[in-house]
Amino acid sequence: MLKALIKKQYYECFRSYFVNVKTGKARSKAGIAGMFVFFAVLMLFLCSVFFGMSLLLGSLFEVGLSWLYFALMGVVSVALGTFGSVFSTFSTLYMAKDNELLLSMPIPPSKILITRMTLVYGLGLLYSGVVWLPAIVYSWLFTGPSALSVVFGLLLLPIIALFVTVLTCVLGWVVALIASHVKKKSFLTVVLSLVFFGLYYFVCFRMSDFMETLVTNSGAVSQGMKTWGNLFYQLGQAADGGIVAMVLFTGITLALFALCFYVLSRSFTHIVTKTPTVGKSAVKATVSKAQDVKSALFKRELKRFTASATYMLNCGLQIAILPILAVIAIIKRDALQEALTVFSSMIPEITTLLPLIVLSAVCLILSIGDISTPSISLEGKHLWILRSLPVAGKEVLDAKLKLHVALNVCPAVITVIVLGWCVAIDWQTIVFMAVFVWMFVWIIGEIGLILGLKRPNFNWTTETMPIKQSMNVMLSMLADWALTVLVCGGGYLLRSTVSVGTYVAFAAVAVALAARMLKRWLDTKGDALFSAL
Amino acid sequence: MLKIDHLTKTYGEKKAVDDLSLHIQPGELYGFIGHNGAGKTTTLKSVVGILQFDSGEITIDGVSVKADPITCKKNIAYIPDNPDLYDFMTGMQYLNFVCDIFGVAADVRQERIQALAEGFELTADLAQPISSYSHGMKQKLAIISAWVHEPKLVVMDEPFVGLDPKAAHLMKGMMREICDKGGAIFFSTHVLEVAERLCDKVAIIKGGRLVRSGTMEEVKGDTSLESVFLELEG
Repeated sequence: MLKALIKKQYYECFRSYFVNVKTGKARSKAGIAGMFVFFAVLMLFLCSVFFGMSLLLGSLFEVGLSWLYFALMGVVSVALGTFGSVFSTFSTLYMAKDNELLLSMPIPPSKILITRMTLVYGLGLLYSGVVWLPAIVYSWLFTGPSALSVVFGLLLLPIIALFVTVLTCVLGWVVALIASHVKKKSFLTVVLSLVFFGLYYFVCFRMSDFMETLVTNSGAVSQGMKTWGNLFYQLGQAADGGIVAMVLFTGITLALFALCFYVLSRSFTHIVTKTPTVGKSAVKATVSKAQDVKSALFKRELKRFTASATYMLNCGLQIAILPILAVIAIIKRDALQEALTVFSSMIPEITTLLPLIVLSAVCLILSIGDISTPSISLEGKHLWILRSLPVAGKEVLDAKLKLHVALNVCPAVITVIVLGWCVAIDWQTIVFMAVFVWMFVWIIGEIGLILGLKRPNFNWTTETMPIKQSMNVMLSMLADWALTVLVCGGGYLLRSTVSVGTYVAFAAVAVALAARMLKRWLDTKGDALFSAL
Repeated sequence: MLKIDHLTKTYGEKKAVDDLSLHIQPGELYGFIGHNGAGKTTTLKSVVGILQFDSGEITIDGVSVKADPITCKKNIAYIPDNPDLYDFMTGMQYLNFVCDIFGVAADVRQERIQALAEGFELTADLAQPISSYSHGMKQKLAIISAWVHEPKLVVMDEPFVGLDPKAAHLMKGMMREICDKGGAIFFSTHVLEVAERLCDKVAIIKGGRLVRSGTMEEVKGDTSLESVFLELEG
């Protein structure tokens, strides 16, 4: 029974490797092989990144602190394993669509739980493995380890993954607990994710500094590890061939897992069968002020966008990045101008090309998130509502485009103005740049909509598919980048014929005309296409 | 009110609806019955402009659904068999959205929503997100959203599925009320007893073709609708 359940669980997880989720058809053997090769290449790439980290910490072997090397890599391995799966743990454990089906069968709930936990364990194994495996391979290649160290190094990987499973199950529960007490869950997710991304990039940028600090202060770090992170001290000793440490680390991990499983299995049925509580008397719904069709459709689009953390994070990240860039530019204005003075002494032309450089940066950032591209496919099973209401297709498309423009144009224009001021571009050119970027926002929204109309996908199972995994998103981003390169590259090539300021003004007019043509297409052919969806 | 002339719709090789003609007069409560896959939903979706058909003509109050869908839709309300409503809205937000689209004034919508929601015992749930609704609650919300703009023609696909007995009873009364006011109802159902008791006219469809239609008496004669249906199906 357990084998059948685990097989089903893993098939579900890797289904997209065997079946084209969009068409529902089985992949060819070559297609399946291709998917696995892609996966292997991705894993190898990640392993190579962490192998680089092993190289940085490798000097700990020279000072006789090999256990500290393993302990630190263990910390990274556990951290990556935990962060990699913590956000999906709660849904993996409790939110599976087949919970009711399985609970109606003669299957003990504990077996359903252990099946779900194997998936969490698998994810943990994957994320921890990309750190731990390169770490032990490094020790084999460069340090001449003992036989026990080699064997324990390998045996520790599944035990670390088990430790990660315990941590993610506990943290996943805490995340779910916080989320259940917050009204605007999507905004909380966005804020938490942005903080996480910020920390992630901060750590990545400062990684070599951290490693240097660790190596130079290895004595203090090792003492701290023994006192405050004794479990990781045991892990480090075990990987170094310590039998007692190996028994201790394994024993503690198994005991923690047993405790975690015991606690979760007692509450499993209660949690999966719990219906969400809604406070009936707490909130009274009120009729809103009447508004016209255009406003109603726009408001609907805005609600759709703000209701989904996935949508906001993947298609609206630039709305947060651009103002951050502007603020950093203001704070670092003097440093920026000093750097420009240095650069212009080496490349005198750089001063005249600054408007193009600023525009390229802003346009490339704008291109990373196109709100309009997945908006058609996101209608999904709700499409019947718009189709049965007395609204024209072009009105719906208009609302989608307006949302894209409304959310992007202010951050984009303000950032261009701020950056232009920070790098001392003349005001006339800054105005042209602002107009250009406004038109750019407009046209990329239209390009996204056209792609969405031409290649819609309403048969998605999770909204991640149209938002993140769709070819449309990739094509839209490439098209936006191509436009950026075309316009800014054109300015560079024509710099001796026409001044950059004048060129930007002409480019703004050209993009505006192109945007007008695309709008005309959307109002006529786009309208017909939408009606035929 | 609703005129369907020689409607044909194919999916690849399969003819879902084949040369179907029906006329529904104002004041008529028209039932549409047939086995699974007979072509009922395809016909209903074609009527409300969700599905583009291959040939034939559908007019509502003399206006072609193909030529002027927006004008037609202003007079129609549609309730599908599985009402997938916007999960990202609350019940009230959805009703406000529908009212805005149909141009229902704020004071009028207040009155109508209050009356309908109280009737269906949904008032307390309107502030909750639709994602927390049960199937029956979504069905009730879909019915309220259909009635809130006072349509002339209501097209419904299996409207009684998921409704509790009280809501189903209320719904039947509301259907009759629309017809009494000069509107019309065109709905599909598998519950033949309901069709027999409720409908003025009925049409039976089989394999995409209309096999019998007319007043209830004309169709069933001295027997029951179930007997006629089973005989035609056999």
